[in-house]
Amino acid sequence: MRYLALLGIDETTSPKPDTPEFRAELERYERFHESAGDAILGGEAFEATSAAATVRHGDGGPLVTAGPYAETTEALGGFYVLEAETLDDAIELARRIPAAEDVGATLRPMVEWFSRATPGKGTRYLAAIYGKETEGDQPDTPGWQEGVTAHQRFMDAAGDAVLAGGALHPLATATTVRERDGEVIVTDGPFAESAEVVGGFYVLRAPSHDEAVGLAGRIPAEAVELRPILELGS
Amino acid sequence: MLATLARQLGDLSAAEDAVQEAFVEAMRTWPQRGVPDNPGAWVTATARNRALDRARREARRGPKEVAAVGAWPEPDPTEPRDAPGEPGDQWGDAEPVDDQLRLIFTCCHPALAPAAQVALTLRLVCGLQTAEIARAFLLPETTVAQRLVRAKAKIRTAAIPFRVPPAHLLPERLASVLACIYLVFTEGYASSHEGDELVRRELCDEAIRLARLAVDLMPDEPEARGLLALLLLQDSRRDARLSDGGDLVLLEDQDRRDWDADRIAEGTEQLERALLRRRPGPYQLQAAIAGLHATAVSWDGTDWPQIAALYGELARVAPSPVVELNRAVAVAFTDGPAAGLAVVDAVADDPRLARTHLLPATRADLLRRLGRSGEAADAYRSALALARTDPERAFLRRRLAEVSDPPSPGAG
Repeated sequence: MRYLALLGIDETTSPKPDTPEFRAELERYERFHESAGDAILGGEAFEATSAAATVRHGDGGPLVTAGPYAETTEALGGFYVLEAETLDDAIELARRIPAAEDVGATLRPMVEWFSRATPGKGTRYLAAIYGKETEGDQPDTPGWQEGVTAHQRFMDAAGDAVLAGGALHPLATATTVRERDGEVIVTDGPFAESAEVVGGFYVLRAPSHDEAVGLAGRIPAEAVELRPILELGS
Repeated sequence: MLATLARQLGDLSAAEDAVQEAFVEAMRTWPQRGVPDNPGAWVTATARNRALDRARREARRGPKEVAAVGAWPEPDPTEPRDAPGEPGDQWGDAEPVDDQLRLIFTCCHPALAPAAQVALTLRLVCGLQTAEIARAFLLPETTVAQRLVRAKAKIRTAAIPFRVPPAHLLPERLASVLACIYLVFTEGYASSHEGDELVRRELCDEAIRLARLAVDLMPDEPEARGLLALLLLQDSRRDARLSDGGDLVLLEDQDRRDWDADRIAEGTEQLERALLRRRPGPYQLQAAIAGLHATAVSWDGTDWPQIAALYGELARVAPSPVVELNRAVAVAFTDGPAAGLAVVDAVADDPRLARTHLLPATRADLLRRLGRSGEAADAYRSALALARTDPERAFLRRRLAEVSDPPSPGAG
């Protein structure tokens, strides 16, 4: 099974880049990477939500607003794609992610996931697909098949700009993992309650912010939150 | 039987289907061919064959169709259900203990919402029908059915494992199982809604059966036995806590002759066996408190210092403002109402108490005992505004009338 781990952080308390606290946090993440090894299929950290943009579909083309899709105290700080045999194994991985000690890590079973190396230069972005869940968000329904076709069209048009992507099972299958004083707390549902949820995502590369917005506007979705990816080097 | 098959097939929904099909097959063929020597084994074997047939059929259809077929169906209302009785009845004779445990741990997995855990456990472990669960919780049947469907879909889609957790996970997972059983009991015993008393009694009985099952399956876990002791001791007072007219009767005013002596004896014995393991926990501590009440000759003859000390220990291992309120009452009877009031006031600002009547009701009682009638009346009014059941409201109104027009202030 593949699980998307969405990392919830409190930006008001999380360390800022280029500080000793930030480097210490990075080291904790590196220790997680070492211990999890091959179970990590992919993952990225994002720039702060202040660098986010949200693209909605409007009558006269995409509408762009600054900031994340939903202004909440619990911010999406990054993600991992984890390979685990069962939910218990995924929980054992997720509890060791430093974000589990912050707001928490939400595990979402994935319908599919791909990642590919493509040539090109530019800034990488996470394009998180938001919207109210509909019947078409249930795999193996006609609505889902229509979505698959539409996304295929987007990917064909976007070409090498698409670096990775994932589709998720409905929110009802989400589980949040928190680590508190050495004890794991497992709960049903996402780390932030909201009517609108992440249904899937792409990792895109674009030469400029405007071009990233243009790409996001062509993703078949109610709304897309664009998050510049934090390039950590190496 | 369901649990055994689910392990063999690795899929609860397929097992549930197969068992139903096997029973249909039994009802069709047994009247003609006679009942086999070992009916339980016959049904298990038939169910396994049906499930394998189904799996072979599905293997030809491709993964998407298999996933679609794997959707858990609503149980067939004609599915046989054993008469309630000793735990284990519903499992047949040859149900391996491990499979029952797997089923319980899967139904009570913490990744499922507590309400879903309760519904799944009652449906799959106790064998209650969806309609019976709906009636017990005063919910529309469609709501419970939906809850079950979603929980089963999550088990399948998120790959919640069908297994007893490994040793390092057992303590936290056992806590989830015991909490689920306790939730079934409290829903029946002190429900937040007014329900049919008989239906609620069934929930208490189911919870006690589940606790017995947990003890049978995990005899070395003192907290499982502590939970069973707690349920038996609380349940011993079930008949005494409501008057003939349905009014709430406080422990203080209950007729101790109405308490169930067999329940008390069994609860006390189970508690003693649990305590022998010398690994106390919240359920054993609560059972010890319930045991001191159950064996006290009278309200005044209750060992209040010991109860206050046990609440103190409980507050240490499982901190909660409600525990503090209970400790306040015990402290009040040990060191006087003023000392109890100090304990109450220390938790008065806790947001977790903001929406229950427990805080003002406890304050009101202590103020009443101190003879501070005016303040007591105010507190009773606050409690009345928050109380959720008719018996609670009726009781608070009686007390309010007493302190508003006191014939003998400070009595009791």
